[in-house]
Amino acid sequence: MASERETHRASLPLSHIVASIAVALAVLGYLWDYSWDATIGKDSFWSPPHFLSWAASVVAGLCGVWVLIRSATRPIGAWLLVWGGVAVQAAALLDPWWQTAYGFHGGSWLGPPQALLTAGTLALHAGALLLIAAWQNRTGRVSPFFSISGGMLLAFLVSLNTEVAWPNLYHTGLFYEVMAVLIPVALVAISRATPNGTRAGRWSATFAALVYMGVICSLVWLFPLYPAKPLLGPIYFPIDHLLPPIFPLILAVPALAIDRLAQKRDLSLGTEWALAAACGLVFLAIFFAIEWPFASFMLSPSADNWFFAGGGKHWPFYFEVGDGATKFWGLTKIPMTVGSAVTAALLAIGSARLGWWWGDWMGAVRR
Amino acid sequence: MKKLALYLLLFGAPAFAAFAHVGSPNTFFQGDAGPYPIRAVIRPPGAVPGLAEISIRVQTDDVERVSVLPGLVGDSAALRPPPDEAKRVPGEPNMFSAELWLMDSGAYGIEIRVEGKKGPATATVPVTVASIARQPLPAELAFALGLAGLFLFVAAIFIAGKAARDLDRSPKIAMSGAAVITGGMLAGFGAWWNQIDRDFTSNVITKPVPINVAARIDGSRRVVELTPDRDKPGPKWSSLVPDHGKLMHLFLISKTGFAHIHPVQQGPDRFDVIVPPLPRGEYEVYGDLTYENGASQTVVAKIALPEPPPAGDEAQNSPLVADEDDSWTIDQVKDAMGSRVFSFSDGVEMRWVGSGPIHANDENALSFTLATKEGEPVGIVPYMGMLSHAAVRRDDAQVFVHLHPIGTYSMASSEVIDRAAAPAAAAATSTGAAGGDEHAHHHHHHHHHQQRAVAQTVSFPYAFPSAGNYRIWVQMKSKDNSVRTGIFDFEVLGPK
Repeated sequence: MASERETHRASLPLSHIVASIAVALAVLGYLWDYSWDATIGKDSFWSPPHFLSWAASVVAGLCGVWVLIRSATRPIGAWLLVWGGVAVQAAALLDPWWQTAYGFHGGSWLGPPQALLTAGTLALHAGALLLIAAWQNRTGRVSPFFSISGGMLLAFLVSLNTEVAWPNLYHTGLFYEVMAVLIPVALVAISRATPNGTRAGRWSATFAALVYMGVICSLVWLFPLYPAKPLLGPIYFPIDHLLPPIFPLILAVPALAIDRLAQKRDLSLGTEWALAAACGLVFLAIFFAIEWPFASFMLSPSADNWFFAGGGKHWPFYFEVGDGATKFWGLTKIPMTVGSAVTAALLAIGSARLGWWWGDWMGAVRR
Repeated sequence: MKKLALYLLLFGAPAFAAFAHVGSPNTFFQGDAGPYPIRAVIRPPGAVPGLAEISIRVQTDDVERVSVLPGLVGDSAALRPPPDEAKRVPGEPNMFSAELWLMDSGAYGIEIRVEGKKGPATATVPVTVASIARQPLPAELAFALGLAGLFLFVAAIFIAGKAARDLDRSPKIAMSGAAVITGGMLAGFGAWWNQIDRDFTSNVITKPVPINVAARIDGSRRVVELTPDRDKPGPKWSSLVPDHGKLMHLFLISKTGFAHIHPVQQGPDRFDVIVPPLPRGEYEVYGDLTYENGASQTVVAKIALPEPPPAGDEAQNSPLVADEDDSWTIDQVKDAMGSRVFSFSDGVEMRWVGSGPIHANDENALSFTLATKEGEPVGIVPYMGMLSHAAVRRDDAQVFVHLHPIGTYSMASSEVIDRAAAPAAAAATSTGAAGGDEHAHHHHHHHHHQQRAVAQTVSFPYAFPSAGNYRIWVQMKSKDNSVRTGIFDFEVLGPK
């Protein structure tokens, strides 16, 4: 907005709301696209999920341009939206050529175009969060869109985990190492960024985690209602409905702990390091305590229902899962050992510390 | 019974030329889907997974629908997705086209389903799919990516500086940091891309597999030993299946010599072959192998053949004998580049039917006839089960392919059947002289089968993959059981 003077009754500018929703839709598009590829297999450049993500990223980038034009201060959040928009467009240009030249590879890390897409999407999230955070800092209020964007960031980060995504892999060491990197940075940053004056501000990480869980659960419940069949062969797993995503990680509980730990302000550096480290370790401990048994539950017949979509009954058509569907995988190659626990702990501490810095930055930005 | 067997041989087996070539990946098929004769071209994708383009020409008018379905050899029917409908090509009668996603490398049976007034029917075309070539990055895309990269780099530095100033910190440190980090990421991006490209071109593309060859003297013969290159990975030679009765078709090619011979397997990793009387010199070696799963492979090597040893009574160590289907020629091409006539020393000519320039990617039918100088058709008999064999090579060796014809089966096959059914009549008119044999028999033929006199044409459907100067060797076996090899040098122009 043109003016910096905002009263306590001012609401979040429309451009910020649109940017937040657009970034959320981009992530929804990626989640939809994964299910589409896992079920139908065949998609054109302009399949509905691709179009959604592409259009959403264009809108997000344009919101950034709009804010830059209209604002006297040219906030960094807007620049990040533009940066992210350009990066995503470049990835969208490169990916079709890449797939014809080198063959199609799914997943987010598997090649330069996907890396570019990931960097761009992270920048879009960072931009939306920064814009909203700046507004929050100027007005002293907390917008629900901050937790919404935070929740979609969590969804995006979890989706980056393609290697150890299935519950069958939750008894490996690698799973906890990967999560120790991806999650604490986001939860701690969201928690630290919001002013503590209101309940929404005090528990922003928890709300973000609830948004993440709510969005993924909705897809778990809605996707299977849509009939679909594979249009590519060979079909190793006969699926007849859109593949639901994996049931969300129970992040609300560790997020609660992080919110509690990260509320204090004006701390000494030593205390900051200690608390950040505590955030990481507490996250890991609670996360492990919940997901390890939850994985066993997810593989059991009790999870074979519409609510959980578990029990080893939902797989992409190209998975030759056989009788490994309800077994734990990776127990010999990437087992949970003392070494991996220590690695995960160190990674969690590092991730939380980064989140703490990022959160503090977002909590200080006013423009 | 013999007639029936011949019918089955020539009508039942669909003719196809589907080999893993050097630089030539398309598959051509001519055959029958039940009561409907069809001709199909399958252009596999450059990389897998990727899209294959299929065009099908149905050679009757009573077809309503055509659909296609890929199946990997070895997959059960339960794994098949629904077939894809092929669309009619506007302006081309009875021509259909479809695109199929092929997800894995390997041997596919592409099923073509035809539905028409005579009911539904299918034909299956074997295709070997693997990553063949890497496309170059189009200039516009490279430019756009370059611009985007530049923007991302500069903007990142700017953003970092602004963030630092907002936080009352030194912008220079932040900007240098951003330059290093973003620059590093871009450099890493480029290096990663290069590495994927290198990996792809060196490992993934189905290049012809180099093998080891060694020539030795055994008694009064020269024997070439072929073994796989141990340093390079590749499938074992223990799961091969014969193609037209031969486990390996081997071509030795030099400027003046050409041989089409058939090595004998000596063990899981060795083939031996007796070299025909080619002059000593450097030869390029091309071999075609087919594996159990239907996949085919071209192996390549270079060999220096020694002088043929003098004939004598020297003991031979190896019991190896030359395959009766081995053929060779050392005729120099006397005619000019672009000539459509090749003259044999006994007055017979092989003519390349048709004129006009040849363009790459055009579906040409390369048609050849064998006739005397006076124009009398010369009878041919099947050579290794086919009416003809051909080998095509670009002069820089970047393209090599071994082709089989399709031809007007009904006429040609009836020639063969008639000949088989009337050996007594043929013998009666033969003069017994080597050169005149052909003519005498043919006069007889001409009287009785006037309308079939033009049936000695063999046709190879083929689309040249690239422009350049090529040589084609066309082999037909005439009735005296000698294999005649016609050689033609010609130019292929760029795609239209």
